[in-house]
Amino acid sequence: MRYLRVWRRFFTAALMRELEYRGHTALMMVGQLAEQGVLLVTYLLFYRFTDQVAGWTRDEALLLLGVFWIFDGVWGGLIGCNLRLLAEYIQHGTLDQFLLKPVSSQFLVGAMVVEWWKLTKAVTGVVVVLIAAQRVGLTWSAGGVAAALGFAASGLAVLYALRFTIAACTFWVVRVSELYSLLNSVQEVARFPVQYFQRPVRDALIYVIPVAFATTLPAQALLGKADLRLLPVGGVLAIAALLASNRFWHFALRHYASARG
Amino acid sequence: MTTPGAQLTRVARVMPRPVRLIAQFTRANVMLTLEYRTGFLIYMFNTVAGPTISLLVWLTVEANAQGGLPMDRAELVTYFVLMSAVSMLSDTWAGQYIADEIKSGALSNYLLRPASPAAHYIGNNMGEKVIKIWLLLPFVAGVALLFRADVRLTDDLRRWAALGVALVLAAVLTFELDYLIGSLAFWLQDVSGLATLNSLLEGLLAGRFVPLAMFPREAAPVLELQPWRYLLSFPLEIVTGTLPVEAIERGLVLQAVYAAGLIGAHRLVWRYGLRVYAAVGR
Repeated sequence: MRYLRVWRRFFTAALMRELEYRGHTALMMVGQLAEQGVLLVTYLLFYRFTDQVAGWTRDEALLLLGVFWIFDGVWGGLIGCNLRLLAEYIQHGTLDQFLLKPVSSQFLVGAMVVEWWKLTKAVTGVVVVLIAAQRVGLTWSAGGVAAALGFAASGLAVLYALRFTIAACTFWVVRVSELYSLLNSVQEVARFPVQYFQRPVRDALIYVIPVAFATTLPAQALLGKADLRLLPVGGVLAIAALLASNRFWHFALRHYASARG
Repeated sequence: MTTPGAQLTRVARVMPRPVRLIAQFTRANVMLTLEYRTGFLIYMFNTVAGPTISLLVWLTVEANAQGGLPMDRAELVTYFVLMSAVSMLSDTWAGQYIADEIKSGALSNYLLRPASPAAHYIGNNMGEKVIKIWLLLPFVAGVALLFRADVRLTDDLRRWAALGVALVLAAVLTFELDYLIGSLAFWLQDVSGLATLNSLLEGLLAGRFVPLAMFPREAAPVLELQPWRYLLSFPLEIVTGTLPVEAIERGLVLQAVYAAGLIGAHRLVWRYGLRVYAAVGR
């Protein structure tokens, strides 16, 4: 509860900050909408020539695109913006301020910044999911939604742990930003169903860098097509990855020597 | 007997001054890029990753469409395998730096030098590319090897010559467009919105995500004439062999006209921009 209260404070402070720069926020949101429009056109062009691609109809693929935007909005607005700053905290010595606070430093460095305008992408995603679900003729079920949320949470947790660990390597390596950006390309693949890719790429996207848990499996769960045996696999992967990232963070902190002047 | 160094110095003396300056900046940036070679190696992996992902997706679409696509499998493979090399060679990153330097006043440092600020950025662009191409080629070769059965390169030497010209013009066009957007910082507080808009239009209309041939036929006349096509798609269309000779000639002329227009616009913007420029100094 205490952590939720702290997080709510971050939310409010970030919202107030963004409202101070309304013009900039609006401009960024328009740019983001345009970017989403480009991706939507790309999808529509895929389906100009065929009714289904790798077992996905146009409307089912649209539903997955909506799920991707929800994932990407949450990632960009709550997680990515924080992890991007971690290297800076370590290199400039400003990490000290997080270590002195009476809450987990991993929580603070991973949650303090909230970029509201990026979260609007998730809102567009929800709208697209609702429209696509109606076009598919989807019957909403509590089980399907719960499975989708379970898959999405495990996907988000694994990717967070993986990228947090890479970002934390800044304790030893000065320039990890390139390595960090390497995973951007992989994460971008989440905008397509993993079935669009042949083996072994498809297997790698499920088991090695499990982006499938973030978008493909939640979309399939909503459509009632997901292999639910993968749900506990995702849960175990998520818990293991989070614990490992936490252990790594504490190990890395032992090598931290404040560089602040 | 003269040494190669002395010969180079003699050659350098007869070169026009702007060319000498750009060559000097290029040399300096080659050394600077070498310092960050690991970082650039990862960037080059990312440069190849995007087109490879697009290729894998389009090959699945092609398999499902059963020959209904305007491009066959070989054309798709050749297009996306070569995309990263063409994209890197015509790439630019100067715009945001110029905008920052105008806003912060750091531009004054460049204005005091006996060389145009553009010469510095051209040298930086070329210097980085000299190293990047060697880092990129093994990745391109690796992807080409994976799809070797479907890579189909033209054996027409005139097309390769046209590709060379189109690549140079594409690099000029990309650089000038980016430079122009960055230069608008003389009047605008923030040019990042314009840069984002340009990047989105480039993504869609230059054929980066979707080859222009995949758009509806009715859009073809507009797509052929719009300038973003000449940044990436046009050189790729030349080398994949999808374009007839007359269309290549017409395209090269149009590309040159766009490049000349942008160079003129760039000169005009700088002439008036420098009149309103007021630096706080550093």
